[in-house]
Amino acid sequence: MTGTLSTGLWNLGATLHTLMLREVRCRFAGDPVGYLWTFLVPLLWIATLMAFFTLIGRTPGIPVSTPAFIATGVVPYVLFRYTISAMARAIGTQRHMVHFAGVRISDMLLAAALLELLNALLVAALVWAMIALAFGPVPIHDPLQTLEGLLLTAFIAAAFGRLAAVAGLLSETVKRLTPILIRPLFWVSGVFFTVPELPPALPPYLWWNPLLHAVEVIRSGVFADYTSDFYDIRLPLLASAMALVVSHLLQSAFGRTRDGTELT
Amino acid sequence: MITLLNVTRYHMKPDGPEILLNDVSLQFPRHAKTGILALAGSGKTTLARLISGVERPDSGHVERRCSVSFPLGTTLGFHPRLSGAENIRLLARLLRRDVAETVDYCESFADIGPAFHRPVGQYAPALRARLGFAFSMSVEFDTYLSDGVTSAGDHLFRDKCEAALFERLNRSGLILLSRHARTLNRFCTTFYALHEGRLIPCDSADEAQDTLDYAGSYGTTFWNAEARHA
Repeated sequence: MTGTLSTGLWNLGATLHTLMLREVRCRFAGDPVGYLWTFLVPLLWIATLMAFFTLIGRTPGIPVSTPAFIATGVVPYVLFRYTISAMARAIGTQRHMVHFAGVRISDMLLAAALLELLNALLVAALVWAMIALAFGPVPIHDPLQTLEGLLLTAFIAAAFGRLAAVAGLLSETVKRLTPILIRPLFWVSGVFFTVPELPPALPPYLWWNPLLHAVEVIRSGVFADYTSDFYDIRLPLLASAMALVVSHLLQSAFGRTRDGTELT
Repeated sequence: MITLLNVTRYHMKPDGPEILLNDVSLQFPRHAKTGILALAGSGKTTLARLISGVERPDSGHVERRCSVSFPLGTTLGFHPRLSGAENIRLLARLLRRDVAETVDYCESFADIGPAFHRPVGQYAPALRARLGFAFSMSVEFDTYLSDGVTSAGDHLFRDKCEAALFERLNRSGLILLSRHARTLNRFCTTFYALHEGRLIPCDSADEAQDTLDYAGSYGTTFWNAEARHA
């Protein structure tokens, strides 16, 4: 029994590893910059937001360096958005893998989510190193809590990404709506503000945004001078668990995708 | 052994369900060479997908107690932006095969020269088909599954493909779904005709064709009659 389980896990690990490798090789194949785009785009976002902050003379609502503040908003947002897009894309680029070695649609989705988590961890390390080089080191107050925030973001993204991908397999309308629905999250997930800065009427509404909780966890972990009493990790955990349950219910209710492929 | 047990599969159409398989029960012994004659649109590809496990039936059960290949000659797993070599490397990893050995085999079998290291998207269809067939032959399975494909490319390469397939069939079984009785005759020893969701056992490929003819599946136009007797 233990042998079967460990063989199964080993096989799953090998399958996920190969699917991730395939995605890395395919995503920007033929582009001279290649996979570096994955790391360049968040850096460009941070640079653009810094330029915007400078232009309008805005400083973060807490006494911390501006690039570090922006980075703690951009990295989780990018992790969330990229994971959802990558999971939806994986269904397209990897769908024919179901013909080989018993690969399931769930494997493709999990591989996409894991790859985005690894990318985000590398982006976070790269951004922090570049901030240290350009503006002086910014020590991370509580590395464990910071990691917890990133993992929480990855979990939220994987759960909602799974739901969006499965629903997108069943309905073309949902597939087209997903990117449109994600876009406003940039403005309401604390990328360029902290919750205490907001007018008192807004936080009760934004409390329902799981990503904002994750961003607040990360900022409280990174900055010694900031402790947020806004976040409650039970909300993002519960919302993500519900998204996972609904995606599994959809899978078992419909059983197969629009082209007939088994939805496992 | 592959077992279909009371398998039913239908597609929902606006004017009601289109039944592709209707309560089919059948066993494919491990080394049997089974040919299924079916016309276009009668559920051939759906049956292949059910047997390989990519699709599941609406009711009934498919049990596989041996390794079943992906459809013979398929090029679906090739990503157009990756080279032939890279695609083979990744697929070999996925199937837990020796990567270097598989790449060498495919390069030598497909014999497509420097194109092997160019993106598959730049291949002519014949080159892609050669690579697909080479990959199919590089992996040993208990049962090979074919959705009508038994070779690829020009006539010389087709001979090579068929020789390789015959060699594999000394040790493996085959489930061949085809529209052509002559193709079934070359490779199979057991025959069925797929008609209106039923698999009708036949003694020969010709009998399978007669069965479909008798059922009126080929239609009665002049050209159908000509094709039938060609």
